[in-house]
Amino acid sequence: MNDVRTLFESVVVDAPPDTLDLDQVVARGTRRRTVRRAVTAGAGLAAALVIGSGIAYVATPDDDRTAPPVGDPTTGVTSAPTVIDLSARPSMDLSCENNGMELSPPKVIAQPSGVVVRLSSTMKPGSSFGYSYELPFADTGAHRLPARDGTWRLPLAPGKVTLACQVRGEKPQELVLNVVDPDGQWMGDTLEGCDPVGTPEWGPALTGTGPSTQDAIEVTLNGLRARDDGRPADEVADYAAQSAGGGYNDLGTGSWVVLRNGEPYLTLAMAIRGETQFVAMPDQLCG
Amino acid sequence: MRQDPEPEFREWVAARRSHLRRTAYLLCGDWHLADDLVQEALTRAFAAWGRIVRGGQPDAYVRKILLNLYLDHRRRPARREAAWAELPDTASVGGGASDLGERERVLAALREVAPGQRAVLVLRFWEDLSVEQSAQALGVSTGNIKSQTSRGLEALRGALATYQEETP
Repeated sequence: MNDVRTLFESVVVDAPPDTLDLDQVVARGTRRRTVRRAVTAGAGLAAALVIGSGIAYVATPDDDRTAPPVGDPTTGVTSAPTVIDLSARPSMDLSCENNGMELSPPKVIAQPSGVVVRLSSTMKPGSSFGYSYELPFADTGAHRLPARDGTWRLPLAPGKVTLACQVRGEKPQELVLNVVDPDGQWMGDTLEGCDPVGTPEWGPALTGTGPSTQDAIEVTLNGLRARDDGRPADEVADYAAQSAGGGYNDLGTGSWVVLRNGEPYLTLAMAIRGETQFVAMPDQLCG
Repeated sequence: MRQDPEPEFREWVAARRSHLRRTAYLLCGDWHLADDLVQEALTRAFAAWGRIVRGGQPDAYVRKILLNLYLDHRRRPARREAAWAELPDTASVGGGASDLGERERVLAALREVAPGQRAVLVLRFWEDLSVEQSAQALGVSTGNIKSQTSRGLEALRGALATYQEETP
């Protein structure tokens, strides 16, 4: 497709002067490296709970958690809404039917544990509901949950998000929900130690559920370990998870980072069904 | 004794910054934002430069950071609207009126392509990455890259045709 390349070249042929401040890059990069080391050292002092066969969950002290962002350092654009939207409600009703889906209201106020969704479904077993931000739901790999009646708390970021209901093998139905966060419950996308690069297509297959956050994560980690089965011993990776400091204030729906051989590998988004079922959803691969 | 990474980093940036800026611009369509994205990507890269160099593929690693920053930026609606509400910055771009019109037509068409698809097109046709390399860069399957490439090209062609018809 040389014509596409030519198009691209025509767009960038006369770039304006470069404004890059390399001294500032080096200074900020040095500070970032220092902060990251400090956080890592702090996490090392925190309690490490060893559950099962070598699965370590590092409980990072609250003091080390990332504060809610008030703006984006790359653009200076404030991302958190500052006006309370009176048309929004603290929870929403989502109905998944074979002949359509309904959402009410279309705006919802984020709670400390995320977005509260009262789901009712008449779709056949095996159907799913879920959400996506970027691509149409059908093209995304993760964020699929069983379409079962109940109250869910989902880690939906403030802004517009596509909700979908889908009978297995059929085209999903989609609606757009607007999440507002006047109280600053969302702690941001920034996940310490992980530079997200994309959603893995195998995410839904490794979604873990359990009676606690740790149990749900353990299921996902075991799924990752199972992928290494049959490999030579020196190629089998160690997997662990630690709180990542992003997502929602409530630790139950906070974000986690899976470490593969000690390096950030995958982020997990957490959802809660009712009061007793926690769901770990593979979210973003780390660069 | 650990070697100071700064000289090597500066040397790498000197060789790659121009290409990085253009890649960022093709992704986001705004030179100011492109410069911000590149500056932040390089900041993150320098923070981990030792590990990046040991990995042996600094170009690929920094490209990943840049893609991540762009997609993360696009994912946040408040920023998405702010960024794309502005016209591309062409005030300091040289060239005649016809060149400018053509460039804006292409930019307008690119804007019609979904961010994920635009990222795939930039990787495949600007960065000259293979399907497999693009899949690795974005952390998705090769099937996903193929389908996104096809849809992206279709969207780009459709938009170009539309803007061509609208141009007197």
